[in-house]
Amino acid sequence: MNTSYAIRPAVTTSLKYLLLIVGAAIMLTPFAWMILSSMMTSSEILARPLTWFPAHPSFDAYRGLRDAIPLGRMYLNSMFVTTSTTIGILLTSSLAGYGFAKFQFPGRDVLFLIVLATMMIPFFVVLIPIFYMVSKFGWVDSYPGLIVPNIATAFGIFLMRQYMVSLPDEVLDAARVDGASEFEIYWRIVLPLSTPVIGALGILAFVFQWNNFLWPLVVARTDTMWTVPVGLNSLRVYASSAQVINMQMAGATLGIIPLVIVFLALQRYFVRGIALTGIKG
Amino acid sequence: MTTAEQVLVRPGRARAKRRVNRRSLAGYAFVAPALILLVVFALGPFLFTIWVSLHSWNMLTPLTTMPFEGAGNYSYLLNDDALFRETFGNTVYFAVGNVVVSVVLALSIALVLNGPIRLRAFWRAAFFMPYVTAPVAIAIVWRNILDSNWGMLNGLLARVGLPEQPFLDSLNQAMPSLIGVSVWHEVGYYMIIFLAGLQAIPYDLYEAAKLDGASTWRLFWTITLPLLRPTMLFVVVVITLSSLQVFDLPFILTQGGPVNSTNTLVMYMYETAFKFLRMGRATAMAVMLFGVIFTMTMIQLRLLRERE
Amino acid sequence: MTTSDKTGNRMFMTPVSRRRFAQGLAASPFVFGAASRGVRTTYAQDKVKLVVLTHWGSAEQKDPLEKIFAEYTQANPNVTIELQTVAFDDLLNRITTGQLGGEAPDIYHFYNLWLPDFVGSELLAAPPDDISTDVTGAYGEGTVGGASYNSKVWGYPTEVNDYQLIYNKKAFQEAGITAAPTTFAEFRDTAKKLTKKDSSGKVTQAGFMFLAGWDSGVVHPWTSLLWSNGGQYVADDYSKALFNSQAGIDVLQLETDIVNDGSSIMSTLTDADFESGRVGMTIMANWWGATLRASSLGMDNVGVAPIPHGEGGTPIALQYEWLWGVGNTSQNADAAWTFLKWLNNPRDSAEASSPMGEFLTSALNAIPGRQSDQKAHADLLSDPFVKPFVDAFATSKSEPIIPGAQEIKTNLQKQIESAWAGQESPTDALNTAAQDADRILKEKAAS
Repeated sequence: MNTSYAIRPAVTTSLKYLLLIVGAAIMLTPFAWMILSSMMTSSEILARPLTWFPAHPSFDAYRGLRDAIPLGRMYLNSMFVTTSTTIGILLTSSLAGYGFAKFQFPGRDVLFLIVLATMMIPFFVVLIPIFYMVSKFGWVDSYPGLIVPNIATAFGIFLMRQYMVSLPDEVLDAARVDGASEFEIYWRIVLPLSTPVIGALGILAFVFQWNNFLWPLVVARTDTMWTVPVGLNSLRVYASSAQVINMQMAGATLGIIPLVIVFLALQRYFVRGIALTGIKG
Repeated sequence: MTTAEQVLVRPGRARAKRRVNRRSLAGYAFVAPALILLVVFALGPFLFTIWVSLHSWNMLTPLTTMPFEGAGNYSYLLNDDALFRETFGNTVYFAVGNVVVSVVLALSIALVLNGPIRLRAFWRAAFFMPYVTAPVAIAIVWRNILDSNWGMLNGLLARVGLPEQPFLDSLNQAMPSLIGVSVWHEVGYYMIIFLAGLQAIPYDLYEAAKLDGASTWRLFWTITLPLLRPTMLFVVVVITLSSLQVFDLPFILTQGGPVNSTNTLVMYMYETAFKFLRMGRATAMAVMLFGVIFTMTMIQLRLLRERE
Repeated sequence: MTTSDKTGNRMFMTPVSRRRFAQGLAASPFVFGAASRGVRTTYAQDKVKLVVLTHWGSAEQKDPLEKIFAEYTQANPNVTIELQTVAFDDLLNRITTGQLGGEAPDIYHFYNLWLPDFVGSELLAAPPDDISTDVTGAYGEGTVGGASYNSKVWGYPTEVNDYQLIYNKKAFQEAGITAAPTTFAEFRDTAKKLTKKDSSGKVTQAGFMFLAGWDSGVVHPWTSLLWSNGGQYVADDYSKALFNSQAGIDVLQLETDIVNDGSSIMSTLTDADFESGRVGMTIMANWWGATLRASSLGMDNVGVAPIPHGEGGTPIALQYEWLWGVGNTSQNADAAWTFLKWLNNPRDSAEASSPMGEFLTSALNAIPGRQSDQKAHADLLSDPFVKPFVDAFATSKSEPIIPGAQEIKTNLQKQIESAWAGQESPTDALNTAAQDADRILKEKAAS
């Protein structure tokens, strides 16, 4: 799994570690401060210069958060919506990616370009027509409304296609000769061979959908349908919003926990996955 | 040409057959679910958007009463709207800065992590963590760090004897600061993509070259970089795409300020649509942005193909 | 005794959970209905459902409001009321998408600057005559003006807000300042005196805080100063902008001078610089009182004074307000107006407070627009922080309710900031903004 070129003398190695340490420090310091600040009082957060450690670390911010917004419900919604959307994305992307990668049909290239083109439009531009459709379907303030518009994504199709193009045709042809249906080939051969890219897309889609803000804001009309980002955003309605800043930090900390878990669980696949997305020489 | 390049650059042009047979029907069937969803939820709405861009619409009146403007919105934006030009310039500035810095840093870190480094999983996780953080937390944290009067970064600079900087309060430094935060946020994501790309390069190629006495630098130039080009293309296309549409970060960090120095095209679009209630004009901006992105992407695909 | 709130978490009856219990009780009949609601259903003859949209979303605001609604629905069992809330920044967004998707509320609560767009798009239903008469008779002149467009009143004003000079009393004492500045010259001088620097020359306390990056934060104080310098914002017939007159240029020059003196900082409300004691003065609205009250600064340290005026001018504060209105597409317009009439009228006797008045004063620490409410709550409104704001209503002027107001305001904001940053001279900045404004006014007048 590891390919490394020239093993350099110890000087370069320590230089590399230095770079990594400095880099990781820059990456993680703001992060660490976010978590620490969730245990501070708001005045400590607002104090300048920066307060590093809370004088009296407490979970008051978390308690206040739980009382201010329906935290449990928000989490439930986010978990359900994000997981469903991610599964949907994985399904539609793998199906379409496979179709574009391993089949020839008239208009395939044009269709693929159209798929790519859909990545070039900022979402809120199409927000209104999508919302209009969703409300006509009767999906406002409901789970289908939150999930369905998001389960097809050009990025996912692009990624899957890159990967699947390099799957060996011989294996697929052999299965056809054996009489397997196209769907069986997809399900029994292509998918298992694609676990790495599924892991990769899975985590990318999960992170993106979890933090998705604008669409749930518009579709969820009552707070029983709030997802985590929307609920956290509602803290801004407080007239004394600066005073609840520690609650916002607590909310942000809670918000990343599922993402960290998903990342840690899938990262092995993730790295392996992207490795095979059409970058073979 | 690698399969990737075939795919990315001239999608299947070399191999497309025009026959409709059982296999190609299966092909249609596989792409159908995603395509239908995209048509309904992306393409259709975009066509609607193009149609709206030919009208004036404040979103409060029914569509049937929209006055027709023809190319009016477009000509206004191109000829009379100084802010459109300014935000367009800002957006390009941001995109170039973000792409160059992110790619260089992501690649460098990936190169380092590709070598014999301990605790690789830890470093990977460390660099990826900023990406999972929600924008609202990023805003609070970074405003705190970059505060021109009392921020942590200035505190650090003062401690080592360097002059303090206005960062987000300065017309000149705001955009570079924004690029800095954006790089912080995304470099881990692109690093992982590069990492995977590097890991796919067969070790024996390096072995052979080293036996011939090639230096590390030469190895990089003649083996790594060429074989990494498809990954590079993927990353550059994706970063450019998202950088040209940047919205969240400047929206929460600087609100486009000071004055308009970090006002981006999509921010101006959003303001035009939802604050000024000028949906016709906003959609015209979106269509023009789409044109630019599409052209850029095509150029990138072509450029990176020709060299092979 | 334990109970479950609507997320099913078991809680004990602590004071906090009592509030949640009440909220849950008030909201529970609507929760599941709302969650499974898709297309709006039509109700039987007598049953009416009113959907209300406001930006009062925090628990401290929502709970009392829902309690008041519950009072009404108990007395009128055929009516149910659903309260929807969004943050202010998202309110306009929600209104537009709601209108398009057929998910429009029956009752809107909105910022009066949006009247020209709403009225022009026929979003609002014109009130019946008795409501119009009620409003014209019971509210102050400036407030009625702020609720009107095209010579019609469009709803009930709720909270009225104006701007004053707010200062840190402790900072004043430490700098030896005994009285708040009244003229422009004093204002600039006071800002200088209040600025404190440490040994390395870094500002530890800024004399004045400008609120940058936010249109109202920049334009509202500036306009107040403009009027206090004898200037005008826009011509009476709304045909052209007048804020680039010499009076306006002088005001912008004053602000730029304060910036160049080094006596100010650019900040945002979320940075909480004033509450953390890092700022001497700023110009802000009365609704900020709730934040200051909850901060570590303490209300004893907060002073309020009239807007400084130019030579020959008198302090004139800018005021704006919020309005209750009924949607034009509402199926229950009559029921909605009836409800609003109850909500905004004195309860029992003519001297009593209206339910809205109670809510505004107790839950929001806001100033009610209705004059009978102002009298009924005179004690609360004589609080040392609030009183100067109330007094200022005698001379305040409404933010001009003109077509394209939001766009003109944003352009002006950017131009003012540009002058502060030294990018343009005040004269050029204001002339550019005025040109933009004239163009927009002309365009809107033609359509």
